This record gives sequence, structure tokens and C-alpha cells, in this order.
Amino acid sequence: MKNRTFMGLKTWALIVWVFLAAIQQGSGAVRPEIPVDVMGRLILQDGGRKKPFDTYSRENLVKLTGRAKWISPEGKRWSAIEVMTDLALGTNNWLGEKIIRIGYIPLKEQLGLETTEKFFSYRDIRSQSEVSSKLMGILNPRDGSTPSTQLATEARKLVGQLNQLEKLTGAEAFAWIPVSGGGRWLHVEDAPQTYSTRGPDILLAYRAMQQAYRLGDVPEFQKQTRAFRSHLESLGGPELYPSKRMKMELIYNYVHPFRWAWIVFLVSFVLLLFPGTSCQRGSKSYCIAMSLFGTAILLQICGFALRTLISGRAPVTNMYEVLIFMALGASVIAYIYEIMYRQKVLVQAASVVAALTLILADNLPAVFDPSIQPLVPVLQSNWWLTVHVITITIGYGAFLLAMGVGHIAMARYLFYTTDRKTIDNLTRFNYRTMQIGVLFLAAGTLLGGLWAEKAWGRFWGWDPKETWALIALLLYLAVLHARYVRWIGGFGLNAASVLAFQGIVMAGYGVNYLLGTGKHSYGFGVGGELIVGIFVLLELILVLLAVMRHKQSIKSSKGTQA
Amino acid sequence: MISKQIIKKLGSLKLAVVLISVISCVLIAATLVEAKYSTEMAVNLIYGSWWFSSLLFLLSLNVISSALVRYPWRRSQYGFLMTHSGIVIILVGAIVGLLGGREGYITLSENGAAVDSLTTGREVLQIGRSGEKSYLRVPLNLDRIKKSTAPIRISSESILPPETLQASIVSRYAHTEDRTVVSQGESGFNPALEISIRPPSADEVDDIREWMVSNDPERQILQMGPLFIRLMKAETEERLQTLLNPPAVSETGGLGKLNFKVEGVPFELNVHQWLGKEMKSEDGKITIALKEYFADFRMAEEEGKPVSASDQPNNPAIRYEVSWGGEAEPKTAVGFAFADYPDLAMMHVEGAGEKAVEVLYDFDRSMMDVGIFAENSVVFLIAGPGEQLHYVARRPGEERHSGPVELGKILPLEGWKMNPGLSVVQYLQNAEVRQVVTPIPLEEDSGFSRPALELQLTGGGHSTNVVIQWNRPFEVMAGADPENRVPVTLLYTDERIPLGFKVQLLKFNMPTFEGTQMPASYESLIRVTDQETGEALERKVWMNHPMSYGGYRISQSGYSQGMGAARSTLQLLADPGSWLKWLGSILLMLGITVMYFWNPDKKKSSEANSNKETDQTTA
Repeated sequence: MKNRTFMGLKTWALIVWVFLAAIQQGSGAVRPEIPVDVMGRLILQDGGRKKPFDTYSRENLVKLTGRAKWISPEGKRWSAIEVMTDLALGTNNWLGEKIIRIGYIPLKEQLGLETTEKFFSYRDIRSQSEVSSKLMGILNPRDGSTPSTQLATEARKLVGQLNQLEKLTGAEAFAWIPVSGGGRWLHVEDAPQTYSTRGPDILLAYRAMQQAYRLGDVPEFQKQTRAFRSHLESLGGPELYPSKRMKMELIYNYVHPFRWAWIVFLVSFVLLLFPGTSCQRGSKSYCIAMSLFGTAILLQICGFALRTLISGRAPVTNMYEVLIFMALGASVIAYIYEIMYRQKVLVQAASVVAALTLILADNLPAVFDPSIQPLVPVLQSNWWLTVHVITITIGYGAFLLAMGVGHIAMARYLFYTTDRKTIDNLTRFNYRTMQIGVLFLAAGTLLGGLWAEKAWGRFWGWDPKETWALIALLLYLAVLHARYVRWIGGFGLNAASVLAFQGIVMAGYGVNYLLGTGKHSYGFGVGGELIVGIFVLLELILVLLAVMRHKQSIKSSKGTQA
Repeated sequence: MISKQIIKKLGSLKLAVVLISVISCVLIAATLVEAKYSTEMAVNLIYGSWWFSSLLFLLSLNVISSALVRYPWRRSQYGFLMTHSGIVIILVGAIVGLLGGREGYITLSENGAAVDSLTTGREVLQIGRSGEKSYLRVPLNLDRIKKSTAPIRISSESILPPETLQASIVSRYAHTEDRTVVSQGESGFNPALEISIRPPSADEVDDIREWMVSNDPERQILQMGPLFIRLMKAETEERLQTLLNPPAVSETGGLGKLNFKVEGVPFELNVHQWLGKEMKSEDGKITIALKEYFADFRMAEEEGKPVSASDQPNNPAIRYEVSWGGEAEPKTAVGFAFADYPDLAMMHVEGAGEKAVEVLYDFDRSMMDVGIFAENSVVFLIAGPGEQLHYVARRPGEERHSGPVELGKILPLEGWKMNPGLSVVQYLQNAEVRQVVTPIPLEEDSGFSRPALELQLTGGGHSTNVVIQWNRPFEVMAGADPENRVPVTLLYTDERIPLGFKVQLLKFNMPTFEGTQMPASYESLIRVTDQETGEALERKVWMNHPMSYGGYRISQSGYSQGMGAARSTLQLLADPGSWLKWLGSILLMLGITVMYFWNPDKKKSSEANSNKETDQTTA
């Protein structure tokens, strides 16, 4: 009797809450004040692999908003898992929320949308027949002309976002129920049909979980979510519902090793600006900075280890992973130098370039997709893939470090009166670093050729990716040979280390994002042109200024001699 | 002395820097061209051009010379030597691969026929004596043909006696279609009619004209909506009469009659009555068995045996066996008799001469009443004997009527609801049919079209231009001496390279990533059979797991699934220079390591070096 009254109260509360939610619909989604992290450990099947709900949430929110968090028009912060839990269990009408990010201004202009706005709702686009037909018009022009490729790409991306949100508002997006034998997982409503004994319990637990969420009943929600999970776990072995492996992915998601790495790198850089070059001589700042630098390297290694454990392969298959590996390569080389030769300036350079590279990778999830995807068939050769990409990326890392050293040298030419000894020292290590880069880039490129020879018999095929690797290699070879015949001096070598790095940018980023042809298509992506363009331009300006300054100083020194 | 000077110049570091820079710029341009236009464009303009090869050649000269200049080599130069020889070995491997390599694709159907040659994707012109196995293969450079204004001569002396035939390529057409030209010839009786159809209700419209040829199965029957027109030939007056007044179906059972003459003794068998049975002559010496009836006879391509494509009597045929001569001298004749092709003898005789048995399958007497003809309006046009021309017409459910045909006059079919306005414009008794190929512009979408090659053929003092179509053998009689001409076959086709082994696809598999349609792998289970020894191997080929056989690397390349059997495309690549590439790569990697990171003189001179402010270069 007591129990029934309680249930009745609950139902009433639910009705009132739904009513309130309905009234509030115009003024934005209401977030039940309920911690939903417990949902993160549930497992979903998506994109060809099993992943925790936490990862699924993060990936979807990035796809919709281009951000890791969503801030509602009222200024409320929603984490990815909060948004996705509400989509799965809540009653908010997400089709009316301004959650779809359109960044490309020409697209907004074409669609007649407010260009100053960044976020739009599904309804803003699909329910406005004018906007909707304009969007279709961009994708299928009536006159048969091909629209400017970026406009079409962005329009296609927008359609993808809209479709994804539409899918997420339906039950199909949340396939909670595992099915053995690699089949498609089921929605919870289908559980009783497939699992006649446990199915009804699963459905009941799910309903209870949903109700508790809607009521904001925190302990009940946590209890029911755990019950739901343990029901699912009991359907098959850990092979079918690998809760333990998912835990690793959750740790990876929460710890953010690569984010911490760049923060630590930056702190260590600041501390390295203080004088002191050795622990023995009692320089505390140096000691701390070097330990931090080492910690950052360890953090990166942990990150890689986790990614390897999650995906079951070396993390070397997309641009994001290449970027973070480059940072690791540069910092490890600098650390070894420090141990062997005590060259603090190299560690300084490394901490900056590594931090910047990691920041770039960490903050552009729409461009450099950090999600873990299953391996496309052409790459399914662990040994060759690992050896080939890691070798090449260490080469990139070395050139990244050389570029950093080059910058320090440029800065010295620009802002200090040239101190020959320091410059010569920088030049010497820059030269050495480029040699390391040449060794690894050459070896990596050749290994790629040997892999191709082994896999289908063709060593070299002038594929754009391999051609650009060769171009980058040739650029550095030209620099090293020119230095050897003394066509360029110390200044030339340092300037060249900055300029030739643009070849690496092209080989790494340009081929995948700008050229978009060839056999390495699995790594292709879009976006980031502006940032990379500005970077390249700034580099050119920097070198130009340094050249001018250098010439001036030569002239003036000649003048004083005369 | 001079040569030493030249080597010094060639091996100079400055030349190296210039060459490396130039090659880098060229490569940058090449990748841009590829992204903006196409891979073919980049290959044609740059990667495959003579000047790019020359640049690479110059680079290898530079690399070799720079090593030679430094002779005798010091210990500290070993790394440099290894590196440079690695580069040269890789480039030599590339040349070996370019000259001796073979590559191409084979496409196989699951459980389909085995393939013993690969297609390279290039086009060739094959020239050879008709009926002989060896032929001359001329690879076609389409780009050159397109650009060249003068005909490109092909030297065919290696396969044909000199001055037999001189062929030159005039041009290539991407799309052609053939038109049929019918003319009076000198060969045997082959009636052809040019008919005109213009329904009276549509007098504004031009009439439809079409040639019907009695010896060409594709031109015997013409269908115009519900109307079937069929051309038949009557060699004799007697046959004309049976065609004009056929017996009713009830008399023949609908399957016609077989007339046998065994050693001059005539027999007439009603197929309906005797099918599946044995007929013995009165003296018991001759046995005729009608084994099987095919309403629509075809040779099934894959099984290699006859089948009936449908139950419509489009090509009625009977399989029979005749035996005679008794036990002492057993003689047999087995074969097929065709109603529509009385001249086509498919017979195998044992123990007697070829002419011992004659068969005539008389089916067409009742043709009007069976199959497609039974349910439609039908006009049979009967040509012959001689200049005579008759028609028999019938609408379903009505009596047939017949009469003579007058050229240019519409057939008297007034009673018909829809008068087709059919008339015969021309009648050729000994028709010769030729296909004339005409190029058509690319834009025009005419459904089926094929590329063709226009050739200028010179021989015996005069020359003609011919257009030969894709995959259609073209035969000419060539030779200066008119008495002693050689038949030569020309074929414009895909370049094919015989493999020396056969490849068959047993099973194609495409597992997907869980819960998706995304392919996780492409796997072909293939059987490879050596054509000489007959040894067979079964292997699974998938991405990153090729099979090496007969000098080829066989790898998974493409697939198609859906309608019918799955198809899988395998890439076959033979590169005799591959070991050089491996060797060169290993040498190169070791060389750089030694050059940059191992200094044999370091221990001795480390003291001296440590004070130096200038950079250390060990190379």
C-alpha cells in the first residue's frame, strides 16, 4: 500500500516535471541536476567497435558542436555526457536547441543565416523551408555546376550534423543491448524478444533508470544504472561486454594525458627561462623544470600506451596521432641531448614546439580527429605500420625540434646583437638534429616502399604522400649539402631549418588536407587551412625579417671594420 | 685527364645541391598537377617524361662520380660510400623493374572460369597470320596517336614476309557504331529484303526502313510492336509450296518432322511421335533414335553443352542417333538437326562416309502456330526460288492468307485493325552484308558503342583505309602477288600478357566491422595451377597478405558484389628489380647511420675536435 502511494507520487512528479519542461521549451533545455558520470561505463557499439558511452558522447558532441562542451544560450555548461544522457533518457526537445555549430561564414551567408551567430538549432535549418532548400541547392545545383569545393564540403558536413542529431533524438542511436557474433546491437525495447529470460528485466531496469533520471532521484538513478549494466554484463562473457577494457578508455578520457603534457611542457619552459644549467650547482628552477619536462614525456608515453591498449594497435594512423607523436619525438631527442651534451637551449626549444603541437592537436578536434577508429584493411599489418609510421614521425619530430632551434636562432639574430659563440653552438646542434631527421625520414620513407613492395609488389609509385616525403627529404638534403660546401653559413642553416619545415607541414598536413589524392586516403581530412596558412605565412615573414636584419648587421660590421 | 675533369665536375657537391633543388621543384609541380588534374596527367607530363628520367639519370651520375672522385677512400668515408651506392642500387633496381617488370590485373568471378593472362590496361594492335598462334603485339600510345598528324608506321616484318602488308595508324576513335550495308554479291543464295513500314495513319512521318537477311539469325526476324515479320528462303518450288500451305499443327504435333536419308534409304519421322523413342527399319538394320528436343538451342558458355534458352521455338533442334550396318560393321551417326539452319551439319559419323546420312528438320511448316508466332500478328516473307517473292500473313485467331509480293507495293493486309503499311522495296538474291564503322562524337549517347582504330593498309601497290573496332578481328588478304595472298588478322584489343599459370577464384569474402557495413577485410580464396606441371595451390589472398607465384606478387585489389556471383580483382606485379630495391634501401639506411653517427677517427681526434667551434661533419 505504502509502495503504491510512493509510485503514485513519483508519477505525479514526473507529469508535473514534464509539464514544466514543456512550458520551458522555448527558453532552452533544462538540465536535471543529477550527476550522470555513472552512465559513462555503459557500452555501445558504434563505428565498427565497442566503446563506452563516455567516448560515444564526446565524439558525438564534437561532431555537433566542434567543442568538448556545450554552453546553452542561458550560459549553462553541459558536458558531452550530460547532453547525450539527456538525449537518451530526458525529455528536452533537442531539435530546438542551438547546438549545431556552423563555422564557415560563406555557408551561413548562402543559407541566409545570421553570420554573427555560431550555433543553430536543427529547426533553424530543417524547419525553415527556405534555408533547407538553399542547403539542398548547394549540394545539388540545378544548373549542374560544381559548387566551390569548400562550400560543398561544409554543406555536406552540416547535413551530416543535422542527420546525426536527428538520429540521436530517436531510439535507434542508443543500441545498448549486445548481440554476439559481430551483429548489430539492439535497442533496449528489443531486448525481451532476443533474450527471453533476461530481456524483460533489462527493459525494466532501463525504464527505472530513465524514470529516476527524469525525477532527478540521484541515488535511485545510480542504483538503476548499475543494475542495468550488470544485467547487460551477465548476457555474455567479457568478450561480449568488455567492461574492464572500457575502464581503460574511461581513464584515458578523464586523465587527458596529452592535455596535461602540454600544460607541463609550458610550465617547464617558463622555469627554464631562469638561469642555471645543472642540478648539482643548486639551481632549483632548472631541477624542477627538467623533472617536469621528463614528466611531460612520461605523460605522453602513458597516453600512447593507453591508446595502444584501447585500440589493440600502435596509435599511428591519423593526423592527430602523428601530431602527438611528433611532439614526443622532439621532446625525447632534446632530453637525450640534454643528458649527453647539457644543451639547455634545446630543451627550451623542445618544450615550446612540443607544447604548441599538442595544443594544436588538442584544440581542433574537428580537424584532427582524436577518436579511435578501427583500422582500415590496407593498414592491417601491425609490424610494417608501426615501424614505417613511427620511423617517419620520429623524423618529423626531429625536424620539428630543428625548426624550434632555428626559431631561437632567428630570435637571437633579430633581437640580440649576434653572439657568435651561442649562434655557432645553436647551429651545430641544429645541423645534428637535421641529420637525425634525415636518417629517420629516409628510413621511414624507404620502409614505406619496402612495405608496399611486400604488400603488392610496387616499391615506389609516385603517390603524392610518398612524393612529398621525398620532397621534404630532398629539401633537407639540399640544406645539408649546401652547408657542407659552405654555400650557406650558420645563419643560412638556421633559416633553412625553419623554411624546410614547411616541406614537412606539406608532407604531413598538406597532402592529407589540401591535395586530397592518392593511396593514403584513409588519413584525409578537411579544415585547418586558415591556421596552417597563417603559420606558414608568419614563418616566412620571420625568416624574411631575420634575413634583412642579418644583412644589415653584416654591412654595419663591415662598415666598422673599414 | 679530361675524363677526370668531367667526373670531378659531375661529382661536384654544387651540382648535387642544384640537382636536388631542381628535382624537388619538379616533384612539387607534379603533385600539384596530380591534385588539380589527374594522376595520368602527372605521369604523362612529368613522371613518365624523358626529361624527368634524364634528371634522375644525371642525379645518379652525380652520386656515382662524387664517390669516384674521392678514391682512394678513407675509413671515415665508408658511410658516405654505402649511402651513395644504396641510392644508385635503388635507381638501377628501378630501371630493371621498368624494363623487365610486368603488371596488370585479372578479374575473376567466384567459381567462374580460370584466367591465364593479365590485362595491363594498355591497348594493343595485334597483327598475325590468320589461324596461327604467334602474332605481333603493337602497344598503342594513345597520346601519340592523338597528337600525331601523319600516320604512324608499324613495322610488321617480324611476323609477315616483307612487303606483304604495311600498316599505319591514322587515328583512334573513342566511340564508333556500325551500320549494315547490304549489296548484291557473287556468293550463294542469300536472299535479303529491304522492307519499309509506314502505317497509313502516320503519313507525315518518314517510313522505317530495315534490311532483312535470311542467313543472318539476327536479321531474320523483325518485331514491330505486336507484329512479327520473318524472312524465309525457299530454294525449291516444292519447299515454297510447303511454306505457303503448311499442314496443321494437329498433323505434326507442333514439333515438325525429321527427314533422314540413311545410305540413300529415306525415312520420315514425326518428332512429336518419336521423341525419346527408337525407330527401327522394317528389316531391323537401321535404328534411328530422337534423343532430345531443344526449342531454343544454345551452347551454354560455361558448361560447354547445349541447352534450351527458352521453351519458345526460336531455334528448334533435335539430337539424334542413327546406327546401321549390323554387328559386323557397326556404323553410327550422332548429331544435331536444326530447323532454321538446314545447311549447318553438326554430325559425327563413325564407320561410314560423311555423306552417308542426310538430315532435314522440317519444323517451319507449323511455325506460324507455335511459340511467339501463335499469339501475335505474323507476316512471313518467302524469298525464292529465283526472283519469286511471296508472303503468308495471319492474325491470331484468324485464317492465314497468302499471295505474291510486288516490289514497292504495300502488302494487302487491309483487314487488319492496325495496318502496318508493310512493303518490300528491294530484293537481292545473293546478298552480301558488310558492317561499315563510323566514328561518332563523344557527346552523343547512342547506348552501345566501342572504340576503333583507323588504319592505312598498304600492300601490293595500293593502299586502303580501314576502321577496325575494339575486340573484333578484322581479316585482310595481303600480299604483293595476287596468286599467293596470305590471310592476315588484325585485332585491336586490351594488352594481355600470358602468365604461364591459371588463377581461379574459389571464394570471395568481405567481413565487416561489427555492427556496420564497413569492410574490415577483402579476402579472395584462389587456386593457382601451373600450366606445365598441373600442380595446383590454394591460397587466401588479402590486404597485406599477397601470394608470390611465378615471379608475380598477387594481391587483392578490388571487388564487386551484388547481382550474380561475386567478382574479385587481383593485381599481379612482377618486378625483377625488387631485390635491388631491398638491397639499396638497407645499404642506404645503414650508410646514413654510419655516416652521421659513427666516426672511426673520433677517439683519436676527440681532443682536437672539442676545441673547434665550427660544426662537425663526418661525411
